[in-house]
Amino acid sequence: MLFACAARAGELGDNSPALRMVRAWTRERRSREIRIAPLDREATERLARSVCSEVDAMRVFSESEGNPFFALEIARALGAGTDRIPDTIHAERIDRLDEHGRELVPWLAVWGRSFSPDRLPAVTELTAANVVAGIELLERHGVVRAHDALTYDFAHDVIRRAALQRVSAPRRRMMHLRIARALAEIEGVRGELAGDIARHAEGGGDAELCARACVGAGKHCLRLFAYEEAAAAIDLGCRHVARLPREARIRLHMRLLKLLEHPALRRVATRRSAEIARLCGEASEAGMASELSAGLHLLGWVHLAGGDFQSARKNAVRALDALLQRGQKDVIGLVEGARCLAILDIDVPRASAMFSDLSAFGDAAVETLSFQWGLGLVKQWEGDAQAALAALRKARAFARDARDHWAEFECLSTIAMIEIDDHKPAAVLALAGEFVPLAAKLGGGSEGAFAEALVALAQLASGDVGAGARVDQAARALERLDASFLLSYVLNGAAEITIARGDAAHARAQAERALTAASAVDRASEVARALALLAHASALEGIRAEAQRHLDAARSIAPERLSANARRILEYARRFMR
Amino acid sequence: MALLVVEERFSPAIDVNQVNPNADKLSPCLPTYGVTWVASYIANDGTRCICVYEAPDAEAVRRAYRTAGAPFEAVWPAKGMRA
Repeated sequence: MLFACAARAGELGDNSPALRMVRAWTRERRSREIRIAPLDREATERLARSVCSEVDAMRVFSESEGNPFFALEIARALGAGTDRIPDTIHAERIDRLDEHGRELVPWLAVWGRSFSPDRLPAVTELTAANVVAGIELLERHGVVRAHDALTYDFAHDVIRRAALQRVSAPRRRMMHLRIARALAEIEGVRGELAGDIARHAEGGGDAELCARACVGAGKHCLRLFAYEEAAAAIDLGCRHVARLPREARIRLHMRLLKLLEHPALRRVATRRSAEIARLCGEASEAGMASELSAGLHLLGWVHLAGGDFQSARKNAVRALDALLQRGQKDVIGLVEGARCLAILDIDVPRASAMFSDLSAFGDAAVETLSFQWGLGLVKQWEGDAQAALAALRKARAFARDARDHWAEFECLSTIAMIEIDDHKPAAVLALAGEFVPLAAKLGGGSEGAFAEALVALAQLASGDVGAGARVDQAARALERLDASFLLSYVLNGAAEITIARGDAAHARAQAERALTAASAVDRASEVARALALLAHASALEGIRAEAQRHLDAARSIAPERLSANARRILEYARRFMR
Repeated sequence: MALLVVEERFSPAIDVNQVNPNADKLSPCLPTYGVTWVASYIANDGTRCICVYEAPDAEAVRRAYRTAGAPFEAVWPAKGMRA
């Protein structure tokens, strides 16, 4: 006589007589164990069509994952015209579990497909011992299986869906909320759990937690290069902030949109630029200066990424305006902002007005490195060499006291630039003993090459013919370092000296390279300087049409963007042309 | 926008599970100079880090680091390479 018996391996232990029988047969070598693999697609489809010929057999296969019992039950349900998972699946797999197992299943179903057992006690209020016993039982009965060393997963999604169907909507919402809040308390709304927290907070109806978790989830996804998921997290968060009170909404909405500064999300940022602009307007109305400033920075970035330097600059200035609304307590922030406008050549007339206003705050603003440094740059731009040198010397002293080597070098190198522009090369060479050793201390940067270039330019201006090769060498080093603004300054300086000696062809080559470098970083004054030098060189060579073309190009630059030095060289080229 | 790589070195080594200690200092300075962070990689021993940015040029990144007071070993322009 031949007996055919079927059982899930883990469940034999629940039936002692059957287990004893199997063991006896095995000992006497009278049994043969055949492990049944899931059915393949074809077999599942055949089985499904045996109960309902019109059924969507592909769907039956994908939902049953080749389990014959599930395949039959799902095929019958679909044949009867319902999408609901048949109750028989719940009855067969879950109802016959003991209390530990049945208590755990709804939580796991609401949690989702993958869950970490060590977090279950905090979420469910079951004891750790009960959770361990419950998981062991569910694993033995083929309800869950180990996913990796730390997490479990439902053995079949259809079991999870069957369990979820038994949880009423209000209870499900409560459980989602509890999971979201418990996870947020354990880990905070960041890292790998942030996405789960957002999903559960959404299910639990906690819009604020959902949006906060979306910020964390978006950051986490960006770290993992999961850009589509990051964009989805931002989108989810933005949809939920709408339900929050105004200030909380603006704050969270801006934090979400700030994630769009990542280059991989540029297209998303461009698509949402109207939303960013609208939010800036709301932040402005609500008097939320930080959010307005952040939004305008973001808008600036969107324009900058699209190559729209003008709009980017406009937004940087508006961001500073937003900071201005905060008043005296942020005086240092305002000084820093004004200095940035000057350093970046963004809106120097505006920076000049700001330094004038900021002096009303007295020593708190004026007697600082940033104020004197920024003021020095503004005065240099305005062509007031004496005031610029006085401010920069003061700034240099502040920097030296603070042991800020970079700031000290910047002040000294700007002093050297002013002296070169003022045709005082001897002063630069006298200063070289201070800024060259400082540059050497600043490893890894462009300071060494720029210091060499300043010395070589001063030597060239002093009549040292051999210095030309050293200028070229330093320029090549700056080119390799991709320091476009510094490169354009050095090449323009060299072209100015070369042209004064009547070598138009060499000057033209230098000015052309300067023009390319200055254009790459949109430095208007150096662009204008290069164009003026090109016009001058062309005129010297008798190519008047080309000279005129360069002058016209220089004229198209808004005059308020040009430094006094650039305007002077441009005027000289015009007069030379006449 | 160009792709820029920054080499950073830490002595003593930093905890690789924590945020880069330069990140907080840098975050307000990067947008000012038109610099956008792309990715960072830390050596398992916490002594070296590579940060990738997008910026108008390498000097913009150097200036952002210098302004923030964040040390670096080198900044160089780069482009993507086929594996």
